[in-house]
Amino acid sequence: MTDIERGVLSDADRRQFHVRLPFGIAKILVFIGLLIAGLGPMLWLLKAAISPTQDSIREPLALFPSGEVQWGNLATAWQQGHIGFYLGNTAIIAAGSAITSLVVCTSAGYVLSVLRPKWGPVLSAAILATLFVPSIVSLVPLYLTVLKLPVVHTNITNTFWAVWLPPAASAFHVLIVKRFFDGIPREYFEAARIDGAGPLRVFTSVVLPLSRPILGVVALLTIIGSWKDYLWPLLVLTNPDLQPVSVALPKIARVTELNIQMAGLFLALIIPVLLFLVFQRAFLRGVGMSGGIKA
Amino acid sequence: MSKPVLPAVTALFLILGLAACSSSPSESADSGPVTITVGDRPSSSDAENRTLYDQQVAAFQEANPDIKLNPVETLWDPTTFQAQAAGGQLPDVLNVPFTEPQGLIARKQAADITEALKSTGLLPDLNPTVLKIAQDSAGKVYAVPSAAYSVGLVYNRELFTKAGLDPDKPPATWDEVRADAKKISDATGAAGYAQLTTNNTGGWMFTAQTYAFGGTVENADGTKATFADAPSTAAMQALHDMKWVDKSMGKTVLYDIDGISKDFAAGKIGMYMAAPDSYRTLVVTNGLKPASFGIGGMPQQNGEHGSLSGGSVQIVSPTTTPAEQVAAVKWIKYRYLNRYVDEASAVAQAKSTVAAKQPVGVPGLPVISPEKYSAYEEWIKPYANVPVQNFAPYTKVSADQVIIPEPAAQAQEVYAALDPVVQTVLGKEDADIGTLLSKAVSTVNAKLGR
Amino acid sequence: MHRRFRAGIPALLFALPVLGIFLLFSWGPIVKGLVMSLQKTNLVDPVQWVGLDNFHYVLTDPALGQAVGNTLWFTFLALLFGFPLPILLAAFMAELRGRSWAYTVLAYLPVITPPVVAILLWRFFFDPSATGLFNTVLGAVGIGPQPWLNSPGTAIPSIVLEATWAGAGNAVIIYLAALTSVRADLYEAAELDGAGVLRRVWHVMLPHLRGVILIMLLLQVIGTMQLFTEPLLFTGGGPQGSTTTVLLLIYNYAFVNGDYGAATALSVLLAVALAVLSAFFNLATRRWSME
Repeated sequence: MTDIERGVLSDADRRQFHVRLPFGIAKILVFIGLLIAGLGPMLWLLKAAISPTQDSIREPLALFPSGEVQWGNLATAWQQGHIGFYLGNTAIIAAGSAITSLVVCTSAGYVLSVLRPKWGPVLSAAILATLFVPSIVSLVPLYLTVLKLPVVHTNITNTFWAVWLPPAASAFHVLIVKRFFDGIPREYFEAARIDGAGPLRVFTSVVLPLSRPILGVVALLTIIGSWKDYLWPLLVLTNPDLQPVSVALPKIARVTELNIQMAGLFLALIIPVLLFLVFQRAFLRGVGMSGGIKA
Repeated sequence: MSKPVLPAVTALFLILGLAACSSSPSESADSGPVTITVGDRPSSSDAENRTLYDQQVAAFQEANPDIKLNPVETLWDPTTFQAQAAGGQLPDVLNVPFTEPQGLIARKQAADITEALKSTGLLPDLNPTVLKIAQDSAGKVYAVPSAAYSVGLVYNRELFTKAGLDPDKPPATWDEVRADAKKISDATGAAGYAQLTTNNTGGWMFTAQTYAFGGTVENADGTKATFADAPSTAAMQALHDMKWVDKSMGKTVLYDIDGISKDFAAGKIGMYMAAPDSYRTLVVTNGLKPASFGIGGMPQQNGEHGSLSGGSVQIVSPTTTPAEQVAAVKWIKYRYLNRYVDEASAVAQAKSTVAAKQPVGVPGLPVISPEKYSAYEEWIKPYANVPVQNFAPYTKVSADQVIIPEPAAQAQEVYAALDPVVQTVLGKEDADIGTLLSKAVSTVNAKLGR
Repeated sequence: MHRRFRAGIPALLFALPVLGIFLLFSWGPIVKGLVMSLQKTNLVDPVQWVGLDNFHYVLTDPALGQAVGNTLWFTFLALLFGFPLPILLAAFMAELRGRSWAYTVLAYLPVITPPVVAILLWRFFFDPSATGLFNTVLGAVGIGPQPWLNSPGTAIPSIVLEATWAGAGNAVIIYLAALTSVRADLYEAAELDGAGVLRRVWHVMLPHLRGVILIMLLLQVIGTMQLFTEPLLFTGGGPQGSTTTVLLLIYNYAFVNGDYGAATALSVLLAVALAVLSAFFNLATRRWSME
């Protein structure tokens, strides 16, 4: 979703036939391709949720070959899996993770990209280095850390802090935010400095407003990441009342048939997707750059 | 990066090294009641079983006022287990599959409960053959088997009928397996026979087959691999011939438990090796018609040799005190073994299992004495919700079949080295079985040395 | 590189969140984990220091050579097919002027498809018999049935296909965010100078994207070299070890064999390799970087 007035192609370009035709064809092809690749699996999931299990495994792509449509599966999965409750937990976890992530990324990106202290490259390298080590290695030590935080010696397992804080240490997010900040023209900072703004002012009134696209992206990536995360919440949130839906769903998988499992998955998926559709403008909105500097 | 990164990162390292503190395992209060954490509590999605579990917790605490139970929903999972062991967060009692105890014993991640079993009088009651899976070479016991099965041959009765075979007479030898597989694939187009091949299940089934052909995988003290000899070669040859000569194994090579269950439930496979507990995966999870489920004893070749066992055991956390171990053993006996000796307990368990729509009446191996086990099966007969007669071919054979335990040393790593052997035999028509086996032997021997 | 503010105290203050979080939840655990590579531990009893034993074991594991080769091949294929696609898609979508949200949502749906569903579907797509979905499609254009996951030659490309499908959406939205911040007047100025469409792409769009593209390239290489979920769930490392990656080996050491020493030793080696790679990358891109 973008608000820019134009991209590479100008209005004049688009009126030209030799641009309009390929562009139009491309639009259709890409749309169909994305429809199949993106929406296809979701629709299949819905179909599997309301079909008898045997239909789904014998003829996965046929449309209700046995003629039976089991809408009741959705209700069963909802009740048996307490999906509403667990989705609530997932939402709390996702929101908290998004906030901690944004705080860490924006402040880190600001330091590395704009403030640029002498020790900046060291910090940058240390952050990048964390990507080299597979997360498996740090699983056990990280667990030991949340069991007993250094200095304060508190146990944060079975609290939401155990799932809000660790994911904020994401080198990937810090680096893409930093690169985005690198792309902000330096003239804006000069202008603000001339106006007498200190580092905090520059951060809040220049950097943040201009970075809405990447902030939306990071928030989205974090939320999706925490929605999908299974192993870590399983480990640190042993109290079932705190568990997110990603941990709760495998539990009904143990005692139910495939179609009910699919129904549970569908419900756990469709609600975030609908929410995303409603709020996607806020997430992915671009910001027109033309209002940045008055000549 | 021209900055002196290395010194800076080293400085970080030193600071962190100083700050590193290790966690201590959980302390237990020895005065007053002993408190133990017990795992495998059914979740709220499994309402009936959860109610029964909670009732048993309450009843146990009433009968044992000096023991307090702290139930948790923790289940066995290979990744979380390691972390929990490190953090001292393992429940004191946990259900783990048969394939795990030997590895856990070797890594000292299960408590030695021999003394606790002796002092509570439970040890003599346990079936010694099945108990081997939970013992080390000195005979000390580290776990209590709570359910056991031997591997047999699961087959689709409907496909048998379609192929003109008698669904009550599954093949008893591997030559018969081959003949029946060909009939099924010719008549129905489904794969007559399939076998697990990935995620260490390939090696696991290879072992089962080797046993059935009269061979072994490791020598008695687990120091050398022994599967490059005639029985294993014959087993692989049989697989090869079914796949490439008869073309009765279909085109899929990679099968894990989930994949093979789904294909079997979809009617795409005629036979495969599995234990009776696969009924649950096939019928309850994947919707196979109960009437189509058939299971026979493990086919044998060149004489009666035996079959591999499977099932579950209860382990006790390695960080427990002797008093806690006694409490844990008492709980294990109450929750998992009482049903075999007390009719009321058996009936209560059966009723709640039926209410939870899970199978009752699937035959297994006795974890206590065989006579008591037969009595148990009589008690739950009225509640059986599975087609008991479909299990008859299996029960007839397995009653007398020798149970051969899994390889003693590092079974998982051995299985991992055997996966590619089976995959190659099924994936390449001109695979040289002898070379494959001898290469795998040297790989395994290197690992057994570690 | 100019410093506009005295970057002393303010920089430290701004850096506190990232320093705190990383120290506690990233650097600390990583260092602790790497220390385990010199130990033999069952995670319960006190550790034994074994020096370089674990490294020796890992380096003499016959499976290592194949795993390294597989990992490199994976990375190469994923870069070849999976890297340009999101850029092209994002560039295209940026031209749609406000109507791109539907495309964005669709492109992102594969990312949020649960792995359980993806596996069920793609297993069916990859069914090696003539009635599998992809084989049916191929049959319609006269190509014979392919073994897909079941043969060493085709297993890795099959997984690359699925992994690209599952991961492209992430990259698309990142590029799209970068593209929407290209100033319109830059394009107009280029146009007034008489630049055609391709010239504008080359001289305005790509330079602006250069920073993001380079960092995404590095991040994707590092990420793909640590691929293991797909091999674990689709093929278990088979057939015949052809999809076993270095990370899958590490996973098996750590969780199937309970050998944390070997797992962390191999991780150290992998980390060093990736660090060397990044250093080269940085040196190489310095020359083309605008900074």
